[in-house]
Amino acid sequence: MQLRQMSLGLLFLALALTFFQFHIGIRTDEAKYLLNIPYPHPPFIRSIFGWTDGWIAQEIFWRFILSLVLIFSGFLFRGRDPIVTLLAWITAPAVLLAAGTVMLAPITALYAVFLLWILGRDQEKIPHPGLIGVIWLIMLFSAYQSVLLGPLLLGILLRKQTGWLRCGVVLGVPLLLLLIYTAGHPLSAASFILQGTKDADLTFGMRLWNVWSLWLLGGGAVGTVAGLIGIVRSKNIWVIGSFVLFTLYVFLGSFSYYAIFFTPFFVWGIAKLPASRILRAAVVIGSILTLWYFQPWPGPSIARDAVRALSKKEPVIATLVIRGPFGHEWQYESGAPVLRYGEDLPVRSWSILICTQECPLPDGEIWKAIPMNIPGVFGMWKNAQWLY
Amino acid sequence: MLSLVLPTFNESKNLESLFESLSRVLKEGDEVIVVDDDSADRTWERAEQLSSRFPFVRVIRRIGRRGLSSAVIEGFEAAKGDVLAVMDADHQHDPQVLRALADAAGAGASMAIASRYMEGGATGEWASHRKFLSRAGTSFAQILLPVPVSDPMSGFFALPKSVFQSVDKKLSPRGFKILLEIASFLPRGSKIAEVPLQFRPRLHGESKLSTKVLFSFGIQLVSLFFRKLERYGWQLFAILCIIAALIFAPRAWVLRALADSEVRTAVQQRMAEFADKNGWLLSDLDLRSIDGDTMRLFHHEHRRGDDQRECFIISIRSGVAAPCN
Repeated sequence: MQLRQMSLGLLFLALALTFFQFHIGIRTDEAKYLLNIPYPHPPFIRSIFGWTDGWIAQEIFWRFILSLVLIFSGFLFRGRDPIVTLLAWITAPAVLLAAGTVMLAPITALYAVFLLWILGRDQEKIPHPGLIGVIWLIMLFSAYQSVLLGPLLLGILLRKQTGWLRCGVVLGVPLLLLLIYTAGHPLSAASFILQGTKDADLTFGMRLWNVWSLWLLGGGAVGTVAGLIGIVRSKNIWVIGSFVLFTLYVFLGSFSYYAIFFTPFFVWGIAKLPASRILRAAVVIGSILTLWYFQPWPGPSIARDAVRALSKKEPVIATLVIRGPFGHEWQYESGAPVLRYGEDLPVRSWSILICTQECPLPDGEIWKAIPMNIPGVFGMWKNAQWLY
Repeated sequence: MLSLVLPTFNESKNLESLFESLSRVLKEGDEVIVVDDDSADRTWERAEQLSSRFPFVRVIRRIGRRGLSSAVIEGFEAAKGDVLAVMDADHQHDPQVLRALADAAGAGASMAIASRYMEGGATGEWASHRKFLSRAGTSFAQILLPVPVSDPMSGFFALPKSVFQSVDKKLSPRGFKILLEIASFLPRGSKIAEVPLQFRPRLHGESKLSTKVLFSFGIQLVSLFFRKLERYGWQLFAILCIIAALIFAPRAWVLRALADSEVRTAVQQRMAEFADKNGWLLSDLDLRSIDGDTMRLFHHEHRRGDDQRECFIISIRSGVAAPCN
């Protein structure tokens, strides 16, 4: 009965977080995956999302599935006190912020949870090395950052008493295939370089602060410290190895949504600690304090509000032309093709021009203003001319 | 010597008549181990009382542990006999069949199973939905097992203790079809004996079939599927790697010119110019091949559902673009 009640509670949590993210709207990265845009990540997961392309419920469906899987994966942590690990997982700020998003960072975190679970199983119950290779192939072709889980894979293979040559084949062949894939998709390689140089202007101290912030968001104030103690005490070089790799990765270039990478490790570390009822309350309070301190609430997506408001006023839109920075979420939300404004861009009939930054008024002969008051939109005009 | 395990949960009213039936079937030295999950109707206590009349009865009362499979495993581990058997305690399994099962297991069969789905067997008066569920589950399970079994969902079977000990450490105590679990670990070619079983209506008590049990069975089938997949682990890995290589290598080959930094810079510049001129994002362009001075790419609108794409050929030197023919 207790398990059923707990499961119902987690289901409601997953639903609530789904609707929270749905209310915020689509982010540019989410649009990339839902539209199966072939960068920056390899095709496995985004191809699956692409199977539902055009389905009206595509977004909410995947938000719910991913939220459900992420929340319930907390049951995979086995420690002396299953309640504290479950609490640490579902109250971790990173999980609360990632559940319901359609991003590859939480999927990478799920892979980490899965691998940590396998690593903790009895030797007889660890999958065949060939199947581990299949899992590794799937992970690498889901998201590039999965390569940072390599040490965990190696640990699992060695626990299965796989010989070094076979370990090399299992780990190396999929990596080679990933390199081949990348060679055929140069935009992906370019995005690496961008990622690696993103924080080039930051000082060493600022980068350290970014890492520390991501750790705190990953585990909550108490969960992070307890998790770190557990990880160090475990002396598990494979877990520590993956953890260090993720830390170096975010040290080079960080985004707030990378915090979820660390949550599986921290909760795994907490599972290694002695059972303590005080710790149960402490992790929850620590997470609340962390959320209160960082206030990492995502901002609403302008694209959805703008397109919805526009659709009510203008029944015919042939093209959406955007002047200023914009992302793929505009392509996702808009039923019409989306173009980037350029001085030489031919003006097309039934186009809507949107400024996402301060911009000069367009030629009044061609463009008529559409009154609109949406934060983040600096002006909206329509060209209702027929061009023969 | 036979050790019969009876996993029980709220079956106290069935025990006396069952022990009487068993006393006519069991031989000298055989034992019956009642494994009770701390029933609310104190089945364990009733069994202990009856053990004075039926000295072959032993009782294990499990406090804080639940589950049919784990109860059977615990009973098997406590058994002293060299042939192990399990049956239901609700009279749905005919004790007369027990001797045939025990003899078959003792004569060299890896498992002897009482089957409802062979000639002479029957499921009894089940509701049509339960028959359907049982048949569906049986069909899935048969596909996943390495040995031919007509009734993999049977809860009435016997096996040599040595066979149990060879798989004991691999067994998952989760789920309620322990036969399925054990059979999934038997090597191909294992000898399976089957005896027809006429499933009888339960005498007292309630059925344990519930949504939770069905869910648990579903999980068990998924687990079996992955276990079956394990037998072909290396082959599956090799096939997937070959498929990936066949898909991605040709494209990497036709873009090999990008290894040259000058070519790479020029291509990037032309693509950026082409994208700017048409108001496209760079990620809307999909570079497909480079052949000498020309590059071929696709433009995708990246709209939901109806995603139009166009093909273009662009001169790397001059930047002149034309649609592909």
